[in-house]
Amino acid sequence: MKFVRDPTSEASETMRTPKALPPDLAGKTIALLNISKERSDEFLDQLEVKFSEAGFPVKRYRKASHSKTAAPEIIQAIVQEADIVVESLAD
Amino acid sequence: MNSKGTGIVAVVKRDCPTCELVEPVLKRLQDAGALVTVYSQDDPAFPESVANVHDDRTLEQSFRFDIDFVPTLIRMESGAEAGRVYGWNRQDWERFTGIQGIGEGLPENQPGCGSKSVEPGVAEKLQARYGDVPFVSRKVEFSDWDDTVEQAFDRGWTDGLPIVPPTDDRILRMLQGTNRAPDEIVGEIPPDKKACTVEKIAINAVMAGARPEYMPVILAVVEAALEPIFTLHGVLCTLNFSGPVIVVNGPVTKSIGMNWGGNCLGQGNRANATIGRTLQLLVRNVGGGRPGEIDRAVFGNPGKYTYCFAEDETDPDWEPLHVSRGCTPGSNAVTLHQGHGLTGFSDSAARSADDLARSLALQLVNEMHPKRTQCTNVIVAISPDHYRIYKEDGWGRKEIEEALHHYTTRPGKDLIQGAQGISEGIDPARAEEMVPKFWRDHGILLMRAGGPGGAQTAIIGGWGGARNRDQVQPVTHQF
Repeated sequence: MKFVRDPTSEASETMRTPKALPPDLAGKTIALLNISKERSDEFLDQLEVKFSEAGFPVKRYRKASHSKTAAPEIIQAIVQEADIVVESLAD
Repeated sequence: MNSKGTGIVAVVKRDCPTCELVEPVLKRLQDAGALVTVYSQDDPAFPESVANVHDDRTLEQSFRFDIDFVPTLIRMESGAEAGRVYGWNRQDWERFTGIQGIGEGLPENQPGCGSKSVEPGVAEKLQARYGDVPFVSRKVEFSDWDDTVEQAFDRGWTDGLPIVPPTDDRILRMLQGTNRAPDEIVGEIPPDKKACTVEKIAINAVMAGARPEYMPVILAVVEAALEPIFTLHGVLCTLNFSGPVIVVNGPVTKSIGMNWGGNCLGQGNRANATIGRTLQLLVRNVGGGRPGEIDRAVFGNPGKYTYCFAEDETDPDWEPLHVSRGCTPGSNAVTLHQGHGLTGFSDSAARSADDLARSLALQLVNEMHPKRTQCTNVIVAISPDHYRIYKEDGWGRKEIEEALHHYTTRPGKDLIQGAQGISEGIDPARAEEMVPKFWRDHGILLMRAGGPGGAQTAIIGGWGGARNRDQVQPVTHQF
């Protein structure tokens, strides 16, 4: 382990909390990101049906491997084209 | 060392001619039972003829024994030091060890070398690793695989540029630049009004890339910024373009290598760049002032990364800015202006001081808005080529300031709201007045700076908060 000294006023925890989800999905485009693990497609296909039936636009993406982060161009495309990301499927 | 911590300890390194010289002496002392422990700083196979040499390449023992020179002999009695000698001197060693006739064939005396444990940059690392570290700031831990620079970005600690990770050894080194205690509270930084200690300043100075010798200036800058009349809170949360602009005066500008000459407002000088950056990082990290949050600047300006330079004080005939504002001649000082950007003024035709002052005034009246008055202060930095024109006509600070105030004073009728078909402007009640553009006492911060060869003056505009004359002013802080 290594460490640095906190440069801030230490008003918040050192462990960061995830960004809060929006209160609702109104007007949002949903990105479904396939992490290329087994049966991801099946699960996301069903999610796409559900989101579409509820009236939300859906875009599909896929990264090459579940063991590595998505390529920069995929992340940039999601940032440009969508508002919310669902990525799956983990075990 | 025997079980009661008594005996002679030697600390040596192979990369030391004197340590090599005394190897047979160490062997003799060991054979006589006087020398019990040998630590080698760079090669556990040295000295070859001495048995049981301890590997101190981590320099932990050298640190704990506080070794300055090698070879050093330390007499330990019951675990406590009872004396030491260093370098080679036959008489000293014989007296110290109680053994006569040592070092036959060696010169009587030969100085030692510096210990590896006190080489530049090493001492602080050892202090951080093995010593007491007086810091109270919490540790933020990462795995050895983490990129600390990227982590700083992720945590929002940076201004958009990479920072230098604030490790304990770097902070210790930074604090060597001041005698002030790390836990001293310098002030409360807005907007969160959190206490800012010397330690936090040192941490952010490390991140900015500053050097220890900049700390006196940095501390003065923070103190000046926190003076109520600088109104730092207003400056950092304004819609306006502004941020703190720092001018440094005094011998310190030379001793720490600041730039007051060519490209002094641009890139390339570490002191200029990192002193200003430290203040901005403190505002962000300790104060909580961040763009998009409480910082509502519509545009901001590039100076909010850093905006710091020195005045050209090379002409003894010129009264420097800080002296004109009440500081002792020859003292060090910082002046902080709530400022933004840069307006370039170029006049290659003027051949008299009056001509140049009239010309410059035409540019100055446009600051903030041509029809607004007494709403902003400015820095006016005269280049060597323009300064020569003033000086050849016998003008110094007083004459230049007087002329600029005079020529930036205009008929109110041209400036009132609606005049010239423009809604912006001053109160129509002032139509019959001659209205000055700037506050007389502190509205124009006149100084000298810049490189030779260009007939230019630099104008650094200011924050509209300055219209509240008694509440918002530039600050000069002597230190």
